[in-house]
Amino acid sequence: MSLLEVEDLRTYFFTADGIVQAVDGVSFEVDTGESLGIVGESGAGKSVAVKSIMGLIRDPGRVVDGSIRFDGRELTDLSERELRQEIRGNEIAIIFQDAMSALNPVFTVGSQIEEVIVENTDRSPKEARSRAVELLDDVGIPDPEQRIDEYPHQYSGGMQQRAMIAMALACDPRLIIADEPTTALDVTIQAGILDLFDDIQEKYETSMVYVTHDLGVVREVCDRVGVMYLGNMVECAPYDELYRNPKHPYTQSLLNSVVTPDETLDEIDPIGGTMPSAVSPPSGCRFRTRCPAAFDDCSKATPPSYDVGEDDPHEVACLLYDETVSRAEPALHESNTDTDPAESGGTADD
Amino acid sequence: MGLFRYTLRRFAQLVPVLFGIVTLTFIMMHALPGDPVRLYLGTEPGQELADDLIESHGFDRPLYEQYFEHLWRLVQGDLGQSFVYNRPVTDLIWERMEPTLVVMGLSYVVALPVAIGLGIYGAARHNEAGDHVSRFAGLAGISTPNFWLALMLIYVMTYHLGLLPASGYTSPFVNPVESAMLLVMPVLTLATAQTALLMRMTRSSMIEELRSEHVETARAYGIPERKIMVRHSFRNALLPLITIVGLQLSTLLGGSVIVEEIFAIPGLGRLFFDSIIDQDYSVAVGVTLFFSTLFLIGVVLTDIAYAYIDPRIKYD
Repeated sequence: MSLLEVEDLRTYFFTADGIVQAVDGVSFEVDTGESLGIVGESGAGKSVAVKSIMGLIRDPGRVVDGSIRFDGRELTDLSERELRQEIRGNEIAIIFQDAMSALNPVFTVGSQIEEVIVENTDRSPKEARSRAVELLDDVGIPDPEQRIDEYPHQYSGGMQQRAMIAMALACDPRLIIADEPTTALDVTIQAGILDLFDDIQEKYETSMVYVTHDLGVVREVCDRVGVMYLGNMVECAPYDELYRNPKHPYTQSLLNSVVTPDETLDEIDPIGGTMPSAVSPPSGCRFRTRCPAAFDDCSKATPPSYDVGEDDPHEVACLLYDETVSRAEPALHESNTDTDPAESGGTADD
Repeated sequence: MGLFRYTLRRFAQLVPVLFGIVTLTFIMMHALPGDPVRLYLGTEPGQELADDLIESHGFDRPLYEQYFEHLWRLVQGDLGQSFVYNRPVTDLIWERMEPTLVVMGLSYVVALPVAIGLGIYGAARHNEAGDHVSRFAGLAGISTPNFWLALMLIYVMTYHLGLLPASGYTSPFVNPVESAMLLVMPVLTLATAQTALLMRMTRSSMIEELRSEHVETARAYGIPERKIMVRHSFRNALLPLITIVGLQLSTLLGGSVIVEEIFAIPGLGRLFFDSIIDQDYSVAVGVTLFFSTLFLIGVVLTDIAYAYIDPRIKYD
């Protein structure tokens, strides 16, 4: 059994402008000790999906449907109090993008970590302090005995994120959610943090959900990758498999938009158009308006997931992989009329 | 260490500001039309009497000489002589200080807890009925002029209900009960606008804090909501609040002039008002200086409190 099983999760925001279907039917699993990457453009619903797991969605947002099972326990049934006492911090911990704002500026780094420990465990304040020093040492903060009494603004950006990671580790959670933890950092600092994530996973044996829009980062830390587009999980596969053999036209275009050192800008193929609004998403497959391979049936219903993997599961939510659907065009490598780049679907999987 | 030196430096910076205030008030008082001597002596003064007064107060000498003498005396702690009361200005200020400080102090004592309580309540119940009620009351409180409120209070409490005496002052240190009866209306008058403004400030900065990312972190790490309110939000929300509390001192000082006039309280506000009407130079300048000093000390204390609460502020 997986540690975390998210099934058909739907999180909507009820705004004055309409219902934003930020996450609309997302399913994924994370095994013990496994690390799952969730990638997608900004606005794809990655952050909302992971925050839903911990019940951190605030008004006007709400998890409207779906199931989130953590170690067999249904989290959507828990009260705010149960979530607070039994899940948040001690079972599942989250690391946010901007550590500077995520830490309270008027308290020392140590006091914030200690508070989390005291609140979630039986440790005394004194034990919490020595534990906090240990943690800061673990995440690579030099002179932890001194620096524990410093304020967040006295730390550099990378160190702030390390402190945040120390806080996440404070109560030995079984799952760590990292929501774009290195996006705000320099590349060199980012590399250090990614190494740290690797070390932590080895040492603490936690599972991890790693949200990012950066496919390169995913390679460093993740075993498996889920690709999200406009509130849907369109494809999910082990990293190497996904990279070598992307199935969903969106994944293919996404991989194709990445500039590698031996490519020039002319060679990359960005995805045409922009992501539609999550208030009134396209019917059926949400990617069809930008998809080079779209055909008539794509607008009829949300495509189910097909397992196209040979050894490990490789899920793809695209009608191209449904043998029973007949389509007007054989698609995949041919362009559709309304989107521009001729071969945006094809080049990545050779 | 840092905090102590910071305090000293901030106080040292007050000296040039005070010098500017002294100069400005001196110029303004002498620029006022009218003749204080004539005003003092009445319609038909004997010329000798007038000359005597003019000479003894140095009004016949050039303005710059008067100015430098004024400065020199100030440095020695001498605020001059009131020629209406014929007594040293420092004595007058000393005598009149108590009622003003008591009324002002009490209005802070009333305003702060009520404002903070209601502000936090409003933030916690953001956009619910209770929040709307307290917000509306706050708006009404800010929009009510204090002189109107004072008159309405007298009209209802004294004239119609006969509950409270309308005017006068008794020291709370002499007769607490009578003093309390007399203080209710002036303190309410001063505290209302104060409370309303501080409440709205507390509310909006608490709402902002409650939406901040560090509060989201606290929630994500299982910190109870009560602790989030008190520890993680309020301390941060205090920062803008403290600034306002310090700056409000000037509003209170201005308000004390009106309130003391209406409720016939023999305080500094009234002394100041009368001194301007009588063109009693030394008193007007003396009280202005006293008020400004009080205000500046308030601002410096605000800065120090700020530096104490917010570690990001550098002392040096």
